[in-house]
Amino acid sequence: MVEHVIVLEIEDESKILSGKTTGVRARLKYDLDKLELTPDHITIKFKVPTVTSSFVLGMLGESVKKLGLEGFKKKYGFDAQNRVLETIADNIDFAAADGTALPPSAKS
Amino acid sequence: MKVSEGRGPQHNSRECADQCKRRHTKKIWRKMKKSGKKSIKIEQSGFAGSILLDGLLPKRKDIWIKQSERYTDRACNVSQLNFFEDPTSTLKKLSEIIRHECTTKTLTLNFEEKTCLDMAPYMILALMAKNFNPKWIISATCTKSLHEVLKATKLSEKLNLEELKEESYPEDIWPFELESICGEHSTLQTPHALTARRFTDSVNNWLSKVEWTLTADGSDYLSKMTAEVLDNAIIHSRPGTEDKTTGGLISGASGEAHIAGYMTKRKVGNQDRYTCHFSVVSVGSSIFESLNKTCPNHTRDQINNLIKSHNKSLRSNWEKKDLWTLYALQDGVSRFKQAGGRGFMELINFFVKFGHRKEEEVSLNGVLPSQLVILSGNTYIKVDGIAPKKDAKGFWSLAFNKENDLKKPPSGKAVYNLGNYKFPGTVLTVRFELNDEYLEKSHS
Repeated sequence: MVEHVIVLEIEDESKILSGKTTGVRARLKYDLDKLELTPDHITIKFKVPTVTSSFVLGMLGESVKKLGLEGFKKKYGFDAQNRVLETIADNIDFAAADGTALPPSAKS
Repeated sequence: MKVSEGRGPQHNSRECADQCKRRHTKKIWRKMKKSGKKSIKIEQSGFAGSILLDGLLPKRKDIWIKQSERYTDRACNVSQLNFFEDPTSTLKKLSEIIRHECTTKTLTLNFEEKTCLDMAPYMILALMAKNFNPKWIISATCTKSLHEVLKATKLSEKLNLEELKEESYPEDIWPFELESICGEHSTLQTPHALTARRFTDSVNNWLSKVEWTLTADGSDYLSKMTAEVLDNAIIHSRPGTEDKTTGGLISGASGEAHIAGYMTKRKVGNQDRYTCHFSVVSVGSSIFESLNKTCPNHTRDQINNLIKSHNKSLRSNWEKKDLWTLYALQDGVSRFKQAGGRGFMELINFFVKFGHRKEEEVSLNGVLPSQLVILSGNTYIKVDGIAPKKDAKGFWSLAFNKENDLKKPPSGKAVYNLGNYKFPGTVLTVRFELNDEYLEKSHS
């Protein structure tokens, strides 16, 4: 099994990875759909102190849906500051719940 | 809001516009009669369409008067521009200023406020000024305190501004100057993230002047929140545009957003109180227009079914699009097929944590209550001392009723329709006192 390491860093002084568009762009840049078809493990290193929910959901939301929560946790590892790890964990759970706050009775 | 005319003949701008239009029509009839032609070419001199100006005053093109027939030396007194307290009058006043742009050569705006109660209307005025007829000359008078805010919105660059010297107001003001952010980018670095960082740095700068700083958690939280709000504003303002760098997976990334803010320090009793104001404005589509145009079918069905259940209780101060806007704010409701739609609930939670004060504190003399307002199209939503709740699945919701139950209608005081007045896009404006929990002494 090969270990793929993806390093996410940005050069400007914002030090924030933000936005669903940017997350989807990162997903495409590192070809996660293809990597997920292999048996390889993926580690993502966040070299920034701040990451927003929309970035995490844009980059990894589809992976959680595809692999399921357990499958995702086996496939991916993260190396980041604690606050970033908390944001990732929170949004992985959110993506796994796959729903909305709207009441179930309202569903068609 | 007081609306009155200052210098010049006693009449309001609507009458002025009507009078000018009547004169213009008579002149056209005379020309047609003289020339014997059934139609003549009407010169719309200097008129240029604008999403913002035409959105705030839909009749703008119809009342437009050519330069040679315009009134000169008009004045307009402006007070209580404030979406927190009086959204209808604020929109009315902004549209009235646009009426003057259509019918006068010169205008003096007399800002009567001692200080700014809401940043957003002044930001909108600054954005309006960028689109005004370049031949139109506006000058203005204002107090020193308000001048600081006008400088932050860069409105003072557009106006020939005269500062009133006699005014003094017992507070310090530190501004964050208006920044306009375009969503287009192609890397992981984003202009809105850079602005969010600068905004957080500004808040820290403001606090450092009084030997305080945000905690690391506070700084992280504020940066994330500002970035999320700007990103939301950008992608909602142009929902139909495609982002090629994501293979068409995401749309709306080419929109624009504008942010400005300031902090004030005031003495309340023996204590210094720090109030943070910031506003984000995006011009283009409203939240309803954006979500309704592009959301997945299951989201549309879910919202429509929920609205149907409220049909019996729909009152005159709501329309369906107001409920669409309310549901768009709830966790998980997104325009995209991918998981998302967390931004608004995170923002409201941030606002509650960072600035929420107990009622007894708010009622202290001179302390401004924390408030957050979302104005989108003609839907008005005010978050005022009410917190979202988390359900068993972990989704946050805010129903604006006592039970926090989305199956029940929201309070008509918190969510309502502004009728004929609308903003072409979305305005988010926030005012809160910084919670001590997220502050620490800068030397510690």
